[in-house]
Amino acid sequence: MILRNIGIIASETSRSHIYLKKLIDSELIPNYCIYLENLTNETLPGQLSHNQKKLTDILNSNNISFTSVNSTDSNSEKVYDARMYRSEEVFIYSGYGGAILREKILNSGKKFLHIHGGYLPDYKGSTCNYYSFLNDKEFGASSIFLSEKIDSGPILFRKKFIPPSDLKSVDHEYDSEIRSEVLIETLKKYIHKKIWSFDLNTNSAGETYYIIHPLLKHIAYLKR
Amino acid sequence: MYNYTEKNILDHPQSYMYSSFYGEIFIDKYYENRRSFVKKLSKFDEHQDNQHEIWNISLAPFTKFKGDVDKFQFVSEEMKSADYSVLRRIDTSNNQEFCTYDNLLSMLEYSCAYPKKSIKFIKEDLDFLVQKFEVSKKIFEFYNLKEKTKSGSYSNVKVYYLFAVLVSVQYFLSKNLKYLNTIIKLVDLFISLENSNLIKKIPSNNLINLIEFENVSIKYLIEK
Repeated sequence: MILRNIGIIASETSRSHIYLKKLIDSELIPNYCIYLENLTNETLPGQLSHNQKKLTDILNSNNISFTSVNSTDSNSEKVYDARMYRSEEVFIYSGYGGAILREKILNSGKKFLHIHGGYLPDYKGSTCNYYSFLNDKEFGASSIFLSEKIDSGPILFRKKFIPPSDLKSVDHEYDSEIRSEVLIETLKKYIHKKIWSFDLNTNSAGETYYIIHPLLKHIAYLKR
Repeated sequence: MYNYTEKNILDHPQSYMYSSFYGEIFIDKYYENRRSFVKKLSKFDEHQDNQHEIWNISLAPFTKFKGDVDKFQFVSEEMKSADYSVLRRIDTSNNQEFCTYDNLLSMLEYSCAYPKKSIKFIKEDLDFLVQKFEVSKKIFEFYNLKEKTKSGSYSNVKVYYLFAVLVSVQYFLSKNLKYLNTIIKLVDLFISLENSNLIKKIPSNNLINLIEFENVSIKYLIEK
């Protein structure tokens, strides 16, 4: 099934790769992709290595039309322009790690579907699932439409997960796996109800966390 | 392996993103890093400005800790004996700059006078500074919230020290891991300044108490 109303902003990250794979496996094909190409020699946050299979190969082999943008910055004019003239109203957002969409993009009339790695509204911010594991021994993921305040948009769907047996797989595999599961559930719910419905309209409480220090990350690994 | 303190973090901020897993030895290396710095501290020259009030602001030595968390005396006697009842708040509607040092001092005094109440009443203002530090790895001497500007120096080590003491007290009171995360990054910052004169503005014993607090907090978390 091609999702005519939905596009994806994807990057050369393990998360974008897993998102696309799961979408294709679930036969939920985005109508269009804006591909943020990394033409630098630098490995960007979220990027596993320069040697992994190119995202464009997956797009081509599945006949997903795309525009390759020579920019890794989701807020760049090139990305803005590539998206503005498209008919899709909603874009699944999967840019490079650490990027935050700015006001101009957020107010451009499109919606950005983001899958947050943490159970909202309790865990906002970055690397939440390590904190969630240290506090409660559980993981979570939640789908939201991005808003100006970080991780505070209304919650479309959220789910708790059992942590993996080996936390070393979290950054590049497990985190993306659980996010993609929530992404698929969110899209299925949308298709079934024919509207975007929310599990929780208010998402104002909770705690905002910041990139976990490697020491706390190691403690989490060793506690597993 | 524990290479987060090798370069001056004020000049070369650490992102701490996507850190690798090294196993249990990483935790040993962390302790080694702290022990080595504490050893060097004892050899530092006497500080030039020992009349500054920072001299009296210190976490109490952990030797006073006897297993009962509620009875732990978390600041020095000098801080406890004063009468602090007015909490200076960051006024978001005010177009005037606020002085970070003065506000931190007020929050710390309030935390000493009203430990339990302080968790709730200073959270918003403290979290504003935690966010500033976590995102940019810097804290400026002045902020204007309405204009969204900052001014003054970001190298005032007394501001970072006061911030570290306050975050430690609030971690002790709330057990909120986001504060422990910030403490570890602040101690990394202090150690990274080892070769600069900046660190000599803070009394060695005060830094030792801070590191001891961090060490014990880590041990508790590992054993929890």
